[in-house]
Amino acid sequence: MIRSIFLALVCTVLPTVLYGQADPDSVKLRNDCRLADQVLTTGNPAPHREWALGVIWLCPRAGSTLSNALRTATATTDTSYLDALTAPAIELRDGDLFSAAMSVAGNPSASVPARVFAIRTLIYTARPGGSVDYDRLVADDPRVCLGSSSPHSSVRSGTPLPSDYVEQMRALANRTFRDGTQPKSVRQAAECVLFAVGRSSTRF
Amino acid sequence: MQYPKAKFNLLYAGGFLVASVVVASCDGRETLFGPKPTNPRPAVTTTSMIASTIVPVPTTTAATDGPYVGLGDVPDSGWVIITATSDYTATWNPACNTAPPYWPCPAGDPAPQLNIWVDVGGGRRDLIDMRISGSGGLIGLQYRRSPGTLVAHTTVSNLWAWDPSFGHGPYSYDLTGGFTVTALSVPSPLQITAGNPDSTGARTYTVAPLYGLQLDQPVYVGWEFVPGDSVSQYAAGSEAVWELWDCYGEGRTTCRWAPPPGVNGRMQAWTYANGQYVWTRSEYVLSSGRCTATPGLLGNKSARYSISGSGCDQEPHVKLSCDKTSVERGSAINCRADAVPAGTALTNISWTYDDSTHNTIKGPATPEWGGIIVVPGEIKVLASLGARSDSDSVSISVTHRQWPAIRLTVHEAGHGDLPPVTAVDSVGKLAHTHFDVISPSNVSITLLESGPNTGWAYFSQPVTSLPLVVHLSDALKPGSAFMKLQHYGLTGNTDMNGNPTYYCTQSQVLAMIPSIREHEGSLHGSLHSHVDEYRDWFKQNSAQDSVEKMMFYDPDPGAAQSFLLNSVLAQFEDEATHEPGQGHRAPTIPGGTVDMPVWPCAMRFFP
Repeated sequence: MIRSIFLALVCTVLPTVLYGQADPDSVKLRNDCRLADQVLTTGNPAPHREWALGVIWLCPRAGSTLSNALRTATATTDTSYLDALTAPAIELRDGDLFSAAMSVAGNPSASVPARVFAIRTLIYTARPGGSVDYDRLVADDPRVCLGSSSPHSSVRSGTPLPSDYVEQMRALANRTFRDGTQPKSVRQAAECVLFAVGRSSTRF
Repeated sequence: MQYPKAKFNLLYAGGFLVASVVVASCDGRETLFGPKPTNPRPAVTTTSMIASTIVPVPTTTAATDGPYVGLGDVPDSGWVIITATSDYTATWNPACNTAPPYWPCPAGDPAPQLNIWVDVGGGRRDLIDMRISGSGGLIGLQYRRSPGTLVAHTTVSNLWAWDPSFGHGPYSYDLTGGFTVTALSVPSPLQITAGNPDSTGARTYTVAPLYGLQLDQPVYVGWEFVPGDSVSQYAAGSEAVWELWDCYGEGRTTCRWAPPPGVNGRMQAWTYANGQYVWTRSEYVLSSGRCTATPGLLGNKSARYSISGSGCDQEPHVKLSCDKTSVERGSAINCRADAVPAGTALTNISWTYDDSTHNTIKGPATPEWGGIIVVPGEIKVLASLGARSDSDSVSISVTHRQWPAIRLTVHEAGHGDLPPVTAVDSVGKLAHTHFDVISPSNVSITLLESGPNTGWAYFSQPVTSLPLVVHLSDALKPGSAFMKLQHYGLTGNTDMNGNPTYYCTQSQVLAMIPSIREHEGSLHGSLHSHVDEYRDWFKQNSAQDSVEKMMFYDPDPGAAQSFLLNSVLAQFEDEATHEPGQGHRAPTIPGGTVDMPVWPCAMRFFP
């Protein structure tokens, strides 16, 4: 009897609580997201950075914030920060973030870590859910540079991706991978994009 | 009319032409074919059309089966030839552009396949082996000894978007068109033509396949003469024949022969085409009266008759022989080109290997070529013999290696790649299970750098185990921001009996952790877990066989090896992860099999 009550509870509660998502209309969330956007795009107040990196996952306009933050972090070599900043892309497919990642990934004046994490963002766009470790991306061959998603993986959509986003990624990755003047780590990461999207659009 | 589903993959069979015979030795003719079948008498003496129609493919990639189409009746004795061409259109489903992006609709080849069989009643169906014809379509051949109804059916690959909430998202393609199928009833699939007689009266007889059929490689033709003044053109199998052994040899599709004085009859040739034993007879051959003496073998049912020196010698040609024509994946072959008859030098030698995925791999300019084979195909050699050039080819088939079942290992590894504690907005972010990183040193991937399969990478050793990792969020640790969020209270919802439901206390949430582990599978219990479902999938899908045949070709040196490990294997893992059974068992998730723990209260989530 008790078990049947529990089951009944689960059936009722599952859709509303167990699978519940953040309420985008919540006043607290709106305020938190506004502050997180300020912290990540301006760097102030600095002590709130870790908090902001946790909150941003839940923000409806996270793509815009993360893309602005990524564009302003091109000189950064702090891999912990870049890791946390680009981690939400594992479940967020957003046109603004994609555009920023393309820009930083192809920017020869950006720091190597910034470019590698931008490339990881592109990999996440192609294969959401599969976590990729920075150290694996820049390791010597042979290496495994694609992660595996889980049955719990979910994907959120932000602004629309360009219709040719796969071709854009492939073109950038091909160009970068084949350019011997690029840093080795960047080239290796670019090759991983090719693994994620395939070397050509005709090969299944 | 509904017919049972046929599972035979004819396109696959067509892509992997298997040589019918193996060249055992120079004197292998005694054992090449084993006992020669008796030629039955066909009742069919004229060519007639059984059917010419379109067999449609399924209308979308949501279904695997197209309709079953009855093509007509086939006679009880005679040859049936089926030709088919594929003409279908796959149109991207617009719903794929607008559906929630949980997972994109998979693009790819729906790979329509055509299955054809003769339904003879009583539950018996004689499948017709459809192979790729020289013109790029499909062709099938079957000798009928009983009447039946010809039936055709198509299948396509399922292409769906995966949706983590509902199992299936939209299908990828709308499909139109199908296979244009023509079925003929014919008296013989072969034809013998005769050249002009020379001064001795000898003619060169040539056997060739009809209707677009191709002789099986390597080609061996048995030549015989059926003496008599009332020999049927359709082989009866009971007459005395003279076996013309001197015309027998690899690639010998011609025979130069003159019957003895005063002896009339028909030439008879037998060989293999489309994997079938086939035979035919020539028009009547009248004695010229100018040949060598009759050897006196009339009356022997099956006697050897030497025609050495009587004009069976042919123009010099290239003969390709391989030590094996069927190899286990990863084994080596060695092939050699020779001039026949010996004595003529081969020059301008060029080798190619046309693999079954349409890559042409070039070989050296030497008389021998070989190496490890992982993908089936056709090895060809082209060479000059004096002023003329000739070529020969041999089909190479590949058999699968028998590998042990892949074992799944499971371990827990902390928070891992789960979202930050303050981003836990649903129960799915408290824990998850996925394939762990495979150390390249734990798998053996070999890139072939020489031989007919240069550029192909494959798993050279079995993958004996794959690691699963379970992550439990730091949110479940006492004192975490998530735990501080938990406190007792009304949820505002009611259960199905109308009773109010409550939020959990911290201690209640902590008490749920074992059931979360059980749900994932790192702790064994009564729930069907994600790990259990992974194990079930691996059992049901013979995962070791899938890995065994994973290969990738890339002409860029080195890339295929990495691509195989990173992309192909990862895609395989995705398949196991995204199968509908990994969904949670709930009324809203069709196909879900993973049990949710039964909890007495609800958690609070961020924000």
